[in-house]
Amino acid sequence: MSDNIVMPQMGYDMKEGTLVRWLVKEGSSLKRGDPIAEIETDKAVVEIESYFTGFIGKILINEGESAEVGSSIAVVVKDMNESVSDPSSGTNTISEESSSKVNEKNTAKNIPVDQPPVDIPVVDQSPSEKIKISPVAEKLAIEQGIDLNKINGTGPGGRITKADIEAQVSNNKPTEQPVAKTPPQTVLPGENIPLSTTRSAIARITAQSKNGIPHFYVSMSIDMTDALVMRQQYGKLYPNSGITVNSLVLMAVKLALIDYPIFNSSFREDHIEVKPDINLGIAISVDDGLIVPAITQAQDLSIIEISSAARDLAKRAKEGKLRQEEYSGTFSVSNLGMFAVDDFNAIILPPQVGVLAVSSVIKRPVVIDDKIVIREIMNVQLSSDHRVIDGVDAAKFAKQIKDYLEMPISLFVS
Amino acid sequence: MPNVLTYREALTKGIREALIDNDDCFLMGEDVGAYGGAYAVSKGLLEEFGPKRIVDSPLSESAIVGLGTGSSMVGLKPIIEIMTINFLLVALDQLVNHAAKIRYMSANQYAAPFMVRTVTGGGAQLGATHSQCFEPWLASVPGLKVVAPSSPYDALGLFRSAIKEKDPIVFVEHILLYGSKGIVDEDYYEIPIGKANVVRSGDNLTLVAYSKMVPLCIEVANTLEEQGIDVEVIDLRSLRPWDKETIINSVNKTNRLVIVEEAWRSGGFGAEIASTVQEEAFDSLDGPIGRVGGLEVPMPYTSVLESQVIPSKDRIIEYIHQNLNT
Repeated sequence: MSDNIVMPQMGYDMKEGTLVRWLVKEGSSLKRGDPIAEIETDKAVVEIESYFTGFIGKILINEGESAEVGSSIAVVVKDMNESVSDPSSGTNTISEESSSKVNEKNTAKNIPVDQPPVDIPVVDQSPSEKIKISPVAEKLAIEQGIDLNKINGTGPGGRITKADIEAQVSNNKPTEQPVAKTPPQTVLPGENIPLSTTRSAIARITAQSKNGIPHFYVSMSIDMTDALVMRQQYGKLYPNSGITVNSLVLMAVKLALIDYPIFNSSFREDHIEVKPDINLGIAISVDDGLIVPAITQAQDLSIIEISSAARDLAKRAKEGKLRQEEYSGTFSVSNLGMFAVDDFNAIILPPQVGVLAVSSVIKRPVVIDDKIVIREIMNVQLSSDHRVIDGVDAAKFAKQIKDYLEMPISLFVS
Repeated sequence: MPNVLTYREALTKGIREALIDNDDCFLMGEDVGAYGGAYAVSKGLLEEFGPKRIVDSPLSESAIVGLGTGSSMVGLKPIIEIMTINFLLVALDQLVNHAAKIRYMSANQYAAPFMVRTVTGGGAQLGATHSQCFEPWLASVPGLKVVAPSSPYDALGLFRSAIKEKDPIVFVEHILLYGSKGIVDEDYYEIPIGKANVVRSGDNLTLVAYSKMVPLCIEVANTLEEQGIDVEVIDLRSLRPWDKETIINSVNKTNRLVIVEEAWRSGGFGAEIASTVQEEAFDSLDGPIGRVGGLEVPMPYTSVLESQVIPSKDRIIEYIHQNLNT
């Protein structure tokens, strides 16, 4: 039995990805969810995780090489015996067929079941040459992609210790390729600026979206006075909760998406695909442009959890440490509130069908019970894809967001 | 303002404060009144508070602990002194089957918020039946709390927290620590139950201990520093609940752990710590977790042999060298 790890699709227009760094090596044991490699797309460097449990039987592309989305980059086998392939066979991949042959061979030889499991991340080792290594050293070696065959353990009985791995890491340092990062640029008059990968991706996606998706817009003014009071009270009660205006909006949007799941969908050729999870995209400004990672499975999160997830996402976005599934937003929020913006509209990020543009909270005179009073007002504008959504739906959805924010207890009790 | 007190004086201070603060609080135990306590912790308190608050009990530990349970259930605040932890054995039924279970078995209608103060440890040539360490046994009982301070500062801080506990707590003092001196803040402070203390920081190995073994481990660390081994020493302070977070954080840094306990190793508290650390921080370990404990024999009377049974500085240092090479 073997499974193929394929180059994942980490953005709707991604065609191929570059393998920056393997975090495992052939023979590494693997659990579902373990990080396996860093992949560079035209947006970011992303760590991908394994869907499989087993051992890395074969690595099919080298660091620095690119592969098309959907093509195999490594093979995972269930049983270590399968991966002990004949190095002279010359084949580069282990097909289902050849690995099952290995299995048959093993069965024929009647290998005893009590054979000790090989738990050392090295392929071409017979069990008698089992490498002695301490738990922390093994963990470090896997993280750093160190080949244990090249290390002589200096610990008791030849055990490889943490110090041995650290020594090897510092030896490797100069040859390690750092991930290229474009420094922030100063713009000079009359200059031709070459497009960074992020810039050309933004150009392509926004142009495709604006040309291909029939956008329409619904605006609403939201009275945030009560929400701000409640946020302040909550902050006094739980000083470290750090709830921002943006997290209030995210929570309201999430609740409205539960009420109106059609906004959490994608337009496909012949059907509308309503998503099972709410992955809330947040537009985040980074060094050379903009990315929209998502808080995944936001439907289950409380205001506190959304708030800390948003903080964490922003931090990791700026460090370039986002995970693959975090590029799968199903509805997005773009907030320019910190720049004294009265009103703006946003471009939908395909294959989503809507985006909410959030402006600044500003004190304004409003009429309540025939009296002019000063209230904290925030304008929002909802962009919708008319192929999926009609004006009435958009108005109802925007009103629902407004209602949640104007009755802020609803944000804190769910 | 810091102030130098002995471990004994810090405890007397804690008990006096509790008696002044709360009219329902009383101290009861064998020889706590007229004699001033077997270790002189309650000296002078009978004169100050009178025989209703400082009560000399009959020689029946079972009766005294039972009285502590019953009177605390109806609102009094007893401090029960059991002369040594060896004598607490005859009161285990009262402590384990009654005090520790009251809240659970009465469906939260009653609790037994009282303190048992007692004395652990060997090294005073008191022989096989008066030199034992049973606090790890007590620390395995849900419903009880167990603390064991190693310094005058911790003794007072833990006492102040312990007296506020809502359930029975065993306050374990060490027979050889009463005369030890240390700085104690004059300003009021408390030390939370269940929180360990990093008493010396280091990078190469974590040494965990409690009570009398803590000052010994600090001496060990000072000697090992001269040999180029940088040891972190953690004082557990509470055995139930115990602070695994502080220990695991330390092991994440040093990757090595040795536990030192005066009690027997078999089924001891070091085993509990070692097991938990390998479960929760396996990937941080760079070698096997080590334990140094009392030799598994009845305590000899003669001081020559007694000093061989209780972990000594030399034995711990030798063990650490061995551990670093296994």
